Amino acid sequence: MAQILVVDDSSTVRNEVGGFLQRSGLTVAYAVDGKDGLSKLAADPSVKLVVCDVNMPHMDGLTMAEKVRSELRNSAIHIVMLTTENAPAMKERGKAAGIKGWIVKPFNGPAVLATFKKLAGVA
Amino acid sequence: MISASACESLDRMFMHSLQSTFTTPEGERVALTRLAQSLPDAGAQMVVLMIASHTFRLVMALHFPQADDALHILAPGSQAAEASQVLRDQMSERGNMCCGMVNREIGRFFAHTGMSTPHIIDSRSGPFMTALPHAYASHWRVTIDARLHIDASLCMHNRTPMDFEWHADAQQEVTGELEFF
Repeated sequence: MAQILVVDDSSTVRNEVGGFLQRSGLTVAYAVDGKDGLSKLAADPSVKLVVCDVNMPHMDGLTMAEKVRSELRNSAIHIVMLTTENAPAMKERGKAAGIKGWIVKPFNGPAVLATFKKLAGVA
Repeated sequence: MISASACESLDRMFMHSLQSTFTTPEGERVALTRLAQSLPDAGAQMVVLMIASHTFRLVMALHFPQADDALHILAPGSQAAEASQVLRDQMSERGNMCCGMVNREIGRFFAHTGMSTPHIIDSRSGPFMTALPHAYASHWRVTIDARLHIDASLCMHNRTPMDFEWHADAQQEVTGELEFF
């Protein structure tokens, strides 16, 4: 049972983001790519917020977001991309998939904590 | 063909991204020195990433040593048993950040760029980067402190003429903030 799922192929980012959120009182699960993220979401319906990288092996983050809607048929979960990408075309694709927001790395936990808590249904 | 302005702009982007990604142990700006060729230490590995569009392919590499100093400075606090893997993960993400910054900036001039995920290979493969057809290559030494340096290379292969001009001080990039949709 987790409130937030952090999806990133970098263990450095998973530790940094997940560690910060856990120290802030949130329960966090992890996935190493989009494919792993989809199966974790299918197995844990308690997740309210996904923080997801874009460029990952096996399945990228935008494809995962599209499949959350089309395959898992979950339109309630909030998805925020955390990525080095900032291309307008990618953001448009994300918007079409119903993602909630976009953060260009590096991660600044204090700047987004209150919003993340709200999206995770905690605040 | 690639213009002198484009080559200088690529170097400025690369230098800017390296100095944004790495700092000294005291948190200060790292020194960069141009090299004729990267000269990684024996046993070093390199993180390789690529930015590509239908008109060019840009390969970037960061060589990092496996020495104890690198572990202590780049992966502080890691346990000895896992230190090597932590260092590889740290360097992969730093390479990702560095290449991602160049990707965002070059994307201002060229549409439809795509960036790879990081791969780590033996630094002895480094010279093969410039053995491929290319229009421009440059090599830099990032001096973290007296005990540690990281050699960094970029190599551009373009299929159509390339000309653009980029300066760091003209950019006002916002990172770390949530853009709501």
